[in-house]
Amino acid sequence: MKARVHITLKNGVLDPQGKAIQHALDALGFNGVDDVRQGKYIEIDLNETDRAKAEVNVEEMCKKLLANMVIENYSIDIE
Amino acid sequence: MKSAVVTFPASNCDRDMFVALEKITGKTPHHIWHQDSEIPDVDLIALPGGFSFGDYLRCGAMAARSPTIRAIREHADRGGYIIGVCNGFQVLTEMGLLPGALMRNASLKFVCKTVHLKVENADTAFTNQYKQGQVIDIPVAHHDGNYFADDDTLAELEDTGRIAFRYVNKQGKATMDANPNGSQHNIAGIINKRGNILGMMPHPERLIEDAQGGTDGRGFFESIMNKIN
Repeated sequence: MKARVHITLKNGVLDPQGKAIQHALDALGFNGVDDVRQGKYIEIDLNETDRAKAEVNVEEMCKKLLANMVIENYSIDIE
Repeated sequence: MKSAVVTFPASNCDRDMFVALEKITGKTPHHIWHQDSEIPDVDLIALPGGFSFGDYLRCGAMAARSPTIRAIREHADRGGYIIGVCNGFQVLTEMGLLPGALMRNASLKFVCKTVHLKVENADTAFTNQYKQGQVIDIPVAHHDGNYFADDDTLAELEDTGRIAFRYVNKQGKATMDANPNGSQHNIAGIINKRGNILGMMPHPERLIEDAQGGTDGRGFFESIMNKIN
């Protein structure tokens, strides 16, 4: 199974990199960009066949390492 | 005072820390390698600056899950002293031993210069040889020193005297201009609730003798010695 994990900054956490990207887009003529938030995308190949178990497992990975819960949220897609 | 310096792959201020501790305490510190599950019995463990594990995932994230971390937690639980400087501060927040997180500098630039710090609380194990409100000069060198914590955590840090150092201007005022990285409340260094762990972005180990251009960092190490002896 493959797990796709998106890590995003929590609301209220400033994202200077996102702001810089927004300014660069604006400079390139992409008007109408209200906000940009940068995050991370992680793909994990699992040898688990039980979807429920895989979800629990990846959730633990997120809490213990992949996301810093002080500043980040995570979402998990498994297929 | 017995001390030890931890080295992770890509730590690069571990030797500076080692020399500072050796010169000031008069005793040779122990080395701890990131894979050491057993560590020597010491009064102080120092987590040095650098770019442990290439800053992969998040600064300090990999180091905070190293094999040696369990023993370092046990040292903390026993009330042993720990200092984390720069990357060491990032590791301590990633370990959850200090609250908050250190994010990319607001300027997005690596900042390498000497800054003014105000001693916000001179009644800690790490600051007792400074005067309350004293302004000292200490170098910073980092890309991810932008201290973030939620409002409740910031209020608790403020109300309980846990902000050890703040970025200030020459006159001791915590202005926006004096803040090198965008840290909330100009926070440069904090301590934990129990008072045995400190994390700070500036490098006191880089200013301990005249050959380095000043000695403002000595008080930091002398404070810990004073507390222990």
